[in-house]
Amino acid sequence: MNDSQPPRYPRHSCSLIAAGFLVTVVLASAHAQRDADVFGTFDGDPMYTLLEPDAIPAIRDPEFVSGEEARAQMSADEPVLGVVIGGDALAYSLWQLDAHEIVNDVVGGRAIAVTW
Amino acid sequence: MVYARRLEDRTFTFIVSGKLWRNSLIMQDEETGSLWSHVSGTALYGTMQGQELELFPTVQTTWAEWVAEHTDTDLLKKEEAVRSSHYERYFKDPDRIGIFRARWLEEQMAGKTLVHGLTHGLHALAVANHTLVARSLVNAELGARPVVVFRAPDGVRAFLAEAEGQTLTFSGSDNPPAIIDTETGSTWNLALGVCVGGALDGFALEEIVIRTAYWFAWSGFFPNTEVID
Repeated sequence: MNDSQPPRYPRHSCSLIAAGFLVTVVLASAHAQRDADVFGTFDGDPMYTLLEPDAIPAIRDPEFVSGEEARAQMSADEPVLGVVIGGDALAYSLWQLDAHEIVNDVVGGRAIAVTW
Repeated sequence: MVYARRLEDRTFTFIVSGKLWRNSLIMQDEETGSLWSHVSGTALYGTMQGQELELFPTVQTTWAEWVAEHTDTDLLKKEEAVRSSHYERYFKDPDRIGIFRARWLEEQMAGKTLVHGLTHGLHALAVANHTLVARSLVNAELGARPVVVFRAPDGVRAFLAEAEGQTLTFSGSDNPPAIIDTETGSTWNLALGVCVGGALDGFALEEIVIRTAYWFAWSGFFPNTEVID
């Protein structure tokens, strides 16, 4: 690590991995379950239970918009997860995914799970 | 991450399990109740244990950059209330990690360093995001395989740096048409991974899936990662 040059992050820098962790921990704190139960140990690392299943609701029937309607909903610097499957381009606002973490979707004929 | 949720003629619906492992989301499928890591895409517990979901390439970028490159894009319809991230302060503060009883390799990089990670078998490579801001492209090796990691206009992509059995070493500016490989002198559009002029004209490089993560999370999954910082 080079201490003389601190890491620079783009304005939209977030972690694909950290978000689910954050939402879960913050919600668990709100539910006063900070003393998490250890569910089991996998590959040497403990798995903690912090919330009931589905306490953070995944999206099961996503709706999409395009064109002007999409542009009207978004800020220019809003972070997105982008994917192209079967020629179809899809964008998912990370601010929206913060609240759901998973979208069960079908894109270009493929059933996909978008996770955050 | 984007995974196929169809596996061996079954389609799964995934929900948030409420469990955490290695500081990351554990998904649960409604059909069998099995628990899946959203980082590795593998089932850790339940009847699906050991199964792995197919991962699709994705980019993480801004709306403006994405829609400029994909003008016909669809957008997951926004809920009116969502106008910012609850976690903006967390993302911007390099000292706030909030690790939940985990270990990571802080001797190699600061935990909050954003990295773009690649894996192949047991091999893992992580390129620090700030390195790609400064250089726009990085030639590297993933195990014995040559790779190039490139900051495209719509996000970071990686490709196998190999054509017709030959290793390719790329150089040039972040202006896509100005990128050349040293071995054949061909010109490349690395945003697409396609050769646009010279001996390899029309050749398409094999894309390698990238996972973008903070170093503290990545290194918990792939402690043997080679680091380019």
